[in-house]
Amino acid sequence: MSDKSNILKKYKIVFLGDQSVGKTSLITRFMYDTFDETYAATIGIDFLSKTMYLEEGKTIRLQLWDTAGQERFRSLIPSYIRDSHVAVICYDITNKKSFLNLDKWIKDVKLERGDDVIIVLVGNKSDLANDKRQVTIEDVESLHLKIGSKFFIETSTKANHNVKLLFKKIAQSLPEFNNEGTENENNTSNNNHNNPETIDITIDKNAPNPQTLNTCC
Amino acid sequence: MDFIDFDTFTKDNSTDNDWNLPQPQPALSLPITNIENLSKKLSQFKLTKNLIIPNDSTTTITVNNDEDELMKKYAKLSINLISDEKKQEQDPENGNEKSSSNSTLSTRLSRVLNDSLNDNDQREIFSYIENNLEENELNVQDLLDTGFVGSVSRSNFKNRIESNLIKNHSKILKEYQPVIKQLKSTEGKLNKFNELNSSTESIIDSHCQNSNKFNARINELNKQQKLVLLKKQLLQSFNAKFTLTEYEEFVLTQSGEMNDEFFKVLSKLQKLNENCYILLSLDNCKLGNDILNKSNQLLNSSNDKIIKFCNKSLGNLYSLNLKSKLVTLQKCLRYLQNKYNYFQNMIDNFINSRSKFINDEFLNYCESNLEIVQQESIRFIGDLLAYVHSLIVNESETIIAIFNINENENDPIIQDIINKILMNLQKPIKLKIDHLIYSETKVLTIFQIFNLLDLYVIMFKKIKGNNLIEVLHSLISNCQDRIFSIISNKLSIIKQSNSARLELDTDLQPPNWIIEFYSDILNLLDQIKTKTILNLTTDSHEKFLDLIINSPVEIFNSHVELNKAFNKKDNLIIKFNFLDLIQSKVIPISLLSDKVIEINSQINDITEKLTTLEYVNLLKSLHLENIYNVSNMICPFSDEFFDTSIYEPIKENKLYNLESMKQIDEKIQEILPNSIIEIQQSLLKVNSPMIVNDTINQVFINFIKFIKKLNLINKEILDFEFTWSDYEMATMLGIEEVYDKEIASLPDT
Repeated sequence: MSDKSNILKKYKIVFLGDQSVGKTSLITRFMYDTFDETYAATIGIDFLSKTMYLEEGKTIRLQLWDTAGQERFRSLIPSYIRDSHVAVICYDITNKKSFLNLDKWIKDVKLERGDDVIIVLVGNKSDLANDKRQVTIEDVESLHLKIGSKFFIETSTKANHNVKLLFKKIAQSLPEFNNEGTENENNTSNNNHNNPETIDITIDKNAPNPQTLNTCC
Repeated sequence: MDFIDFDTFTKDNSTDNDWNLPQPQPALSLPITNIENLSKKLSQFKLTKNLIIPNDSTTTITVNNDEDELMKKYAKLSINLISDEKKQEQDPENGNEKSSSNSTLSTRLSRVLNDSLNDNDQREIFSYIENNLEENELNVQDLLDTGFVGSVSRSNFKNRIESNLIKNHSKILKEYQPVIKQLKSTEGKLNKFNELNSSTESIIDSHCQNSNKFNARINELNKQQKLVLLKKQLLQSFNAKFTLTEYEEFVLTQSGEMNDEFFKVLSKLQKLNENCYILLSLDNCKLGNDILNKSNQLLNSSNDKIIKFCNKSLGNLYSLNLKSKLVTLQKCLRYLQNKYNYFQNMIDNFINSRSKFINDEFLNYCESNLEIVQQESIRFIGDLLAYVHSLIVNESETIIAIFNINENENDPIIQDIINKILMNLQKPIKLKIDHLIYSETKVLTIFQIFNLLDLYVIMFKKIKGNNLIEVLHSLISNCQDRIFSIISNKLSIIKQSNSARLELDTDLQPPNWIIEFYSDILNLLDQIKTKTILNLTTDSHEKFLDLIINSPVEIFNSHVELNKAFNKKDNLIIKFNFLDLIQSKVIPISLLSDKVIEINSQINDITEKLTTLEYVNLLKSLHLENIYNVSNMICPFSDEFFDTSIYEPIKENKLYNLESMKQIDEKIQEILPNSIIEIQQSLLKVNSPMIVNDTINQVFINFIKFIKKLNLINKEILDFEFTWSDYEMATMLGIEEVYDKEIASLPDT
């Protein structure tokens, strides 16, 4: 196992997007593997952190900053984007307006961080894709190419679809993480079992809706 | 082997011993069933050989001697018998003897026959006799003969039987001969065995004696050994409990590594040190003291070593990026946890250094953002609070990662460390934000700061254990105070301001300062969603409302009162316009609904005063003022009850007469048609057309109602009526509808 404790190294991930697109649900699903049907608007900025144990035996400490989508809290958000490593910009695939507003959020991110940030586009509520989809894969793919985001993905926090994959891909996208030594890759995977905060990020190959899985770039 | 003696058959046992016939001996009852097996077993044993073959001369001689003696005895008996028979023949009393021998025989027979032998035995005996008789061709009569023949026959018969018996016995005995021989040879062997046994026993006895001695010695040695072992165990145990090996001492003092072995030895040393109190309780506590001193010395040096390591590690947190270092540090902390002074000193040192580090970081951050402070205080405070938010989170995570030694993130120790580290941020944060709050003059900006702080209180509450919330509360309180003070100062300046007074001119419009004053305040109030303004207490909320509503009104009123250029009507109109403006501003704000009612009440007072003023002016212009006053003195016209008789006393007034009434009628016809324009002109500077209209209507209604009553009085007393009736006047004044409603609402008079 790696002798690196990384007590001082944390990766700040800021979740952005319009109100009620599912930013908090996404984090809650990742953190506690639960989904709450009742909607409660986030007040200000919430903070949660989690150590992720990846398949390769690497560990990583993620700081998740959950921002409020309401306009009245908008002025707070740039301060949190400023020192973030990753900006997860969320939209609701059943709400075209939330997708169109991504431009505003991307602009905010670019303004604060320029190109020195990993942008991830997340289309949530993919469980409603069949009946209520308003944003197509082509729409988001086009935006992804336009803004140069790291990847895009459709998720469903309700159906627990692609959430783990999202965070795994985020972790794998971190440049510092990729540069870390891989000398102990083979003998650390079992350490997961002893840690209560272990998150199994193994992807269920049999998970339904393979189409959305393929949307990751 | 017994034989039946010959003589025993001849004499009666009761009379002469010679006649006492011996009982035939039973056949030898030897167990011959296993004779074959026995002979096999004793193959070397041959009875016939021993008895018949005179190998052993002694035995043969003995047998021959016995046979000779027996033969002699029988020969002697036979001779005696013959001599006795001769005597009997010679004896004349032979018949008697014969009868006596018969009786003897019969006695014997009866004895035999009546013997206790059972039937089977008897049958066997007699069958045997019978068979023998047949075999030997003997005559029973001869046997029964009492004479010589009988005696000889019986003797022969007896001999034959005995011979058969002997043969049988010999035969049986011959079968035992090999067994005997075998037994003889076995006897020798057994004797040897016995000898061997006795010699062995004697040897064993001697050995036993030796063994007992040996065992006694062994037991003694065993006891000694046990004592020695006990001593050894005691010493080993003592050694284990009260001493450290040289290597262990080396691990504690010399070895530079703080590894598992170090902590193992340290744990042992701790136990050793604790156990010393057992030694100290002994009568001789010197040993205990010595060991205690030594262990204390070692413990102190180990503690110093641990503290040195902890301080070094905590002084350079980057070193803890190595997991092994972190684990060792946590072991050290776990060890020191129970040593309060050491632990607390170390923690205090860490807190001091960490707080200093964080303070420096914070100040660096502030310095690097000085430009923003100058340009945009709200953004600076927002960024500052976001920075502090991240700082708290990062610091909490770092402290938890280091000090989570009891597997509990909510450990009071951790919370205490975090709080103490962050506590030192309280002052710089408060200073920075306070500075901005107190240097800011815009209420709206401070209100935004207030909102920001209030939001961060909610956000900081979600983060475990940080006491910066107190600072935020204090800053919020300062914002509230600052808003109060800015408004108060502003009002104070206005109160003292000459320009504010000069703003009151004859156009009777509200001054500009009130518009400016509310431009900020109303923006602030419009954004408030809480139950009280700025989350103030109810009392403070009321004070604030007084400050923003009542105080400006008071200041304005004071300014108006001081202005000598205004007449009474101007005074009322400008006050009305001022209140009307305030009301129009605050009426949409729900928080100010009470104040709206209060202002409305003031407006109504002014409107009433203005109505009264205009009404009096109208009466004056029509010369009705005195009549109105006199009538009112008799009975107020405002009373709903009216009766002309009540006003009878008016006759006594010199002013009330027909002539004067005629003049008034003329005046009415002259002035009343233009009175609408007159009053409208008079109220032209009132900003609210609705209030102007209401005032005019009220003045005319009051007038018409008075005229109507006066007309009735005139008719009753002077028998005079005005040219125009009340309805005609109402129509002329354009208030016929209003008057109709007014009349309809009155009770019948």
